[in-house]
Amino acid sequence: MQPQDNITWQKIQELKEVPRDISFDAAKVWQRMEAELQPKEHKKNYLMWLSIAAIFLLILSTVVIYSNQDKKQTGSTEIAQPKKRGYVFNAEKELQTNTTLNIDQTTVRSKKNIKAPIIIKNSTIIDSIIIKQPSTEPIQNPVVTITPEVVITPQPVAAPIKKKLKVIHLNDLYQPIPEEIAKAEIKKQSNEEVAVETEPVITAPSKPFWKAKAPQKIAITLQDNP
Amino acid sequence: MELQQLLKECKKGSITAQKYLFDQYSKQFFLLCRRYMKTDEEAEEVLMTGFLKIFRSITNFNFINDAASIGWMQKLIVNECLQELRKKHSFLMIAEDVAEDISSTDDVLASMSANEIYKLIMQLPIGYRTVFNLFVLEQMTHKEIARLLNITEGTSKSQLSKARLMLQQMIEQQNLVNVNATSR
Repeated sequence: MQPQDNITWQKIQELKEVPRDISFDAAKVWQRMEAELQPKEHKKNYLMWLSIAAIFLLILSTVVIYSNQDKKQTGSTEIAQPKKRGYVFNAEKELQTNTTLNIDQTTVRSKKNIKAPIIIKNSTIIDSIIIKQPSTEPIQNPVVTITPEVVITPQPVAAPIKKKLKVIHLNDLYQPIPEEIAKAEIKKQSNEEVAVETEPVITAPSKPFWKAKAPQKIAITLQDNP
Repeated sequence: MELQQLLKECKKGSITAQKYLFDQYSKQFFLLCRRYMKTDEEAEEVLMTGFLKIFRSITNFNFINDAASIGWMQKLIVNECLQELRKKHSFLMIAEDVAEDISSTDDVLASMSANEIYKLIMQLPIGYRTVFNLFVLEQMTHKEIARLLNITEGTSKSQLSKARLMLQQMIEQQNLVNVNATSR
């Protein structure tokens, strides 16, 4: 540093006011600065709230996903539970408890001997389950009424047996019948008369006895509650 | 309000404190900017960006004393000026022969006002002015200047001596004018 440098430095440090020929508008500069400073804070706040919202959504979605997974796992364990050793199959018990009735894509799990009536609101089903539209209302207590439709096969009526009369020649009426023939005739006639006097025998159906009967048609109807 | 308290409030992000700090130091820092920049508008622009930088980096600043705090702010402003100069004017500084030392202007300088010296510095070309400002007024070494401006130390020295020579010529010229004016 030279001596004139020190003088220059001191003189410049003394300068506190802006020279006349230099224009400086502090207010204008501050206005521009303020405009730069203010939005930054808004941006910071906006970013902060955005990040909080993102974290909240992330947590919510993970909770939902995990809960769904848990449900699936519990559902699968019910189906695929391994049988323990020494497990004895109790047919009555298991069949009673796990009977399923499929009605038009809707599966109704029910126990046997349910007597509660079906409650189907706004349903047009009266006496048939042929309607393909699945009901939107859940079936809580289904009742299945079974009306057996018995098909009666008409039994063939036995044709009346025509009485066979002995054709006797006119000349024979006047000829004396030998005793042996007469006796034999009398016996025959008496036997035939006995047979005629009895009830006409109903003949059995033409089908042989070893053939199985035709299956009975069973109509299942679902009825609304009155 | 004390500078320590003011800087503390600025750290919290108080707009009032920032405004107060700006009002207190805007003129001083504008004059600093104007020494480096060519026009008033450029100086205002750099002042604004410099203050914004101060407010944003104040969270990492630890207060020691007033002089150190003002020095820290000045350094930020100067860096901003140099950055702007690099953008707008490339420093084409070539190493020249070191000019002879000037010693005859001491008395003349002492008799001059701060405003006059300030105006003379502003009349220097950008290259000379920048090195002169950094060496004489910011009191940096040639090594620091060379690093900042990406020039050699020799170039910095030659630019400084050229700036001094030019200033001497200007002072002599002004002195002559003044002498002539008084003699009339």
